[in-house]
Amino acid sequence: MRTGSLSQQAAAPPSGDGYEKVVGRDLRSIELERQIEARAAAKTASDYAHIVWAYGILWSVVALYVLYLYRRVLRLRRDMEGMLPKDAPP
Amino acid sequence: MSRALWAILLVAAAALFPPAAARVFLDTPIEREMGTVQKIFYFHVPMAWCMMLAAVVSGVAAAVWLFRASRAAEALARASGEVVLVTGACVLLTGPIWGHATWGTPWTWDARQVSTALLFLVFAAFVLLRAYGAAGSERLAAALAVFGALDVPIIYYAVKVWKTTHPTTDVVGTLPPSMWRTLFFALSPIAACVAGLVAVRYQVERAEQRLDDLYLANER
Repeated sequence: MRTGSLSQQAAAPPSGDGYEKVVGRDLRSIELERQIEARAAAKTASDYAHIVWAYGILWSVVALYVLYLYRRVLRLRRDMEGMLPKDAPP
Repeated sequence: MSRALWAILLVAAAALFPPAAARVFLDTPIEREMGTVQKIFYFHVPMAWCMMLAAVVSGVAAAVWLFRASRAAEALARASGEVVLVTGACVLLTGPIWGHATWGTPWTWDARQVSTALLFLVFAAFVLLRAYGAAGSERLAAALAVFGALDVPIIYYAVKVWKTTHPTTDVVGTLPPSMWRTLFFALSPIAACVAGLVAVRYQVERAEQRLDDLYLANER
C-alpha cells in the first residue's frame, strides 16, 4: 500500500536496489490543475444550462404562437361554415 | 400571398433548423472569452434582426394603410406587428439569459436593452389596441406601429451613440469566418420561420376581413 503524498514520493532518495525512481508531479501542481479543471467543468455545465433555457424558451414562444394561430384558423373555419346557408352543398 | 408560399417557408425552416443547430454546436469553435454560452448568439442575434425587420414592415404597412386605406396593408401591419411581439419576446428572454452568464447580471438597463423593450411595449400596445380597441382606434394603433418602426434605427445605433454593455454594430465583421458563416446559416431557418408566420397570419387576417365584409353585406 502506498502511503504519503506524490510530492514525497518524488522527493524520495535513490534506493540503488534496481528499482527506478518514480518522478511524479508535485502535489501543488496537481491540485491546481484539478481546481482549474473543476472550474472549467462548472463553467461548461452552467453554460449548457443557460443554452438549454435560452433555446427552450425561444422555441416555446414560437410554438405557443403557432398554437394560437392554429386555434384562430379553426375559429375562422367555424365562422365561415356558420355563414354558409344550411342547404348549401358541402 | 399564396398558401404555397407560407407552406414552403415553414417547411424550409423545419428542414434548415437541424443542420443549423448541428453547425452551431458541432462545427463552430467555442468563443475564447465567453465560452460555450456564446452559442446563444447564433439564434439571439438573427431573432433580433427579424424583430427589427418585422417592426419596419409593420410600420410601413401601417403608414400605407393610414394614407391609402389599403386593407391588404392593414392585414400586413397586423400580421407583422404580432410577429414583432413573438420575436421580441424571444429576444428579451434569451438576451438576459446570455447576459446572466457573461455579464453576471441579466439586465443592465443599457440603451439597446431599453430601446428593444420599448419596441416590444409599443407593439404590445398596437396589438392590444387592434384586438380590443373601440371603433376609430385603428388610426391610433397605426400611428403606434409607425412610432415603433421609428424605434428600429434607435435600437441599431444605440450601441454607437451611447455607452452600452452590448458590443458595437460592426462586431459581426470582426468575427472569424467560421463564426459569421454559422451566424448567417442560423439566420436562414429563423428568417424562413418568421416570414412563414407573417404569411400565415396575413392570410388569416385577410380571410377575417372578407368574413367581416360578408357579415356586413348580410346585415344590409
